[in-house]
Amino acid sequence: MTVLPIIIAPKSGESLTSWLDRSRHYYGMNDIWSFVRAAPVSYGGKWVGDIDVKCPSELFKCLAAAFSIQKGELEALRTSLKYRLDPGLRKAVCLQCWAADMLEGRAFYRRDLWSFPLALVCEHHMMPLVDCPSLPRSEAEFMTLYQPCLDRQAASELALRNHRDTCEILRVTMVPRGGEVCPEHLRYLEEFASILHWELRDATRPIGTALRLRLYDFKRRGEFHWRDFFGDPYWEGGKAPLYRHGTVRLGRVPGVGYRRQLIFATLDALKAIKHQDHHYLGLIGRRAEKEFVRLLRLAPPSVVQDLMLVAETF
Amino acid sequence: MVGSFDLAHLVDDEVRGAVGLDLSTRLAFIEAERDYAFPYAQHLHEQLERLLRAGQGRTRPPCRRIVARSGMGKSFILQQFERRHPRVISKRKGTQWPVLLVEVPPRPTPDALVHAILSKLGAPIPSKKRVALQYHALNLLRDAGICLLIFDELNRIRHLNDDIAGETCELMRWYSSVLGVPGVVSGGPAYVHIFQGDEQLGDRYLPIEIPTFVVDEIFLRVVSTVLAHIPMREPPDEEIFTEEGASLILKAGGVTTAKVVHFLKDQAMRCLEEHREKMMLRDLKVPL
Repeated sequence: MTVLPIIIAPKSGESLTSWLDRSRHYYGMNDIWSFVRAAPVSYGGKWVGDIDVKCPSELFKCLAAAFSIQKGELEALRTSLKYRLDPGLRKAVCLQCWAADMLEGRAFYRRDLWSFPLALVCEHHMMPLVDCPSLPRSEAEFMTLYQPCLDRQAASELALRNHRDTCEILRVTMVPRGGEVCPEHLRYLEEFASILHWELRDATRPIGTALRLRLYDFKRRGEFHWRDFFGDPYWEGGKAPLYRHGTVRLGRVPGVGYRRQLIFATLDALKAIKHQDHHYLGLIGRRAEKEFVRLLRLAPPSVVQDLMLVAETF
Repeated sequence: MVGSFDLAHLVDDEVRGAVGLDLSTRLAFIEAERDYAFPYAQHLHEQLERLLRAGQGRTRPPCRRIVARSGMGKSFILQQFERRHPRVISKRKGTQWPVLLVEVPPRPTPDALVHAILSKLGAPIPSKKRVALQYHALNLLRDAGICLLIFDELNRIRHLNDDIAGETCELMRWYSSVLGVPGVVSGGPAYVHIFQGDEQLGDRYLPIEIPTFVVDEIFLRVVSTVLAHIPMREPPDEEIFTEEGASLILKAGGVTTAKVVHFLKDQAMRCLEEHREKMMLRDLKVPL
């Protein structure tokens, strides 16, 4: 099989679609699919809606041959991308990362970590992610489109500090008491958000966007912390639940699992999907429950223990 | 030595080894394509090497046009030269593709030429307008690190009218100039008038002509070289290497390399089929 004359190598942490988008743009093709259909990739398999999540192995094989890249190296991209928003919602970017790309002479690319449903800030720069639908193709384009945003951030030192403080809170409150930041917890929350997103895919507003925007909104006003996720709607003693955008505590409630409590609390906290009140008690859950149990079975025991620990701690 | 035969008349051990094989294998051995390293081919290789060494970034890169009749081995030599300088793809250092040999398509309009370049590079062909596509190919050529751009079979340009043919040749010169790399065009005499009729093209692409064979020392060396690659137990008749023998071969075979080689191989195979191990001048038959 012919190898492409110029190899566009995937960058560290880049999503598969971002890599293919850069490649197809370099080769002047209109879209990713016309690129992979044409020689030398010559993928003849069926159409796939979201190649980040379920890229067929035959396509990996074709890409590996055409790009002269190890198949395993490409498959590593796929395995790290299990819980993501819909392709149409993967617009969040860290402008500081792109500015760093520009300064270091790299091509602009989207990091896969930006596309997780609960990704609100960039892990490197601790800056809030912003929505940027288009990938800048050149430094000039980046400067034109996004420099004003960067300038605004830099100009408002106070706002910048607030952003950073909020982000620090976010990180700190992610930590179980006295513990360290646990990537598994983050991943666990991502799973929940992913399930939520899937369950509410028919909602009028995309839940992913709603989640991200509302969370950021609350966070900016200092009214939201990660611990708000964890609470108990059935507060013992018959007291009214401490709803401050849904501040509840998880407890051992017969018949109501932690996962469902967490979903309830999240939905209450966000108030983003109130019109689905009558749905989520009944419809959210069964399918999600199965998915959750499946994920939990796949997860290592330490994750399950951490989950219980978090639930009891908060 | 094979049996009682001295095989000093054969060129190397591979050919000497083939003498001991059975008849059908020997016939297949004779029919196989091989590099005879004729003197004019070596001269052409040297010229191409010199152009390659000229490298990129030249304001006025040196360019050549190779003109020879069909069957003189131009394409073989160019392909061999391309194989000697293969591309190297590295994710870290990028692609290094020193020599790009493009065979121009049967109807080499400028658009078809760009498609041929992209196809040779192995790049997908996007649906862009003409100019955009030309620049797209230019960017790919630049990124691929091309140092020598060769277009072969340019004689096909005779199927075009002079205006379009001129555009195609101008496009080749444009690629060479903008990339700052030497360019080579090659083909039969049919394309020469385009270069001779255009001052810019004529001045830039200096001619390298490969003449057809006549009865002279060079031709006799060619015959000798070909026969040294044919695994026969006994050396060929000395009469073959005389003026009379050379005239007969040229008359019977033809005046180009391909025809001469084909004729000599044909005669050798006929000898072997008739269980003769020595090629004699009197046995050479003029094909009907």
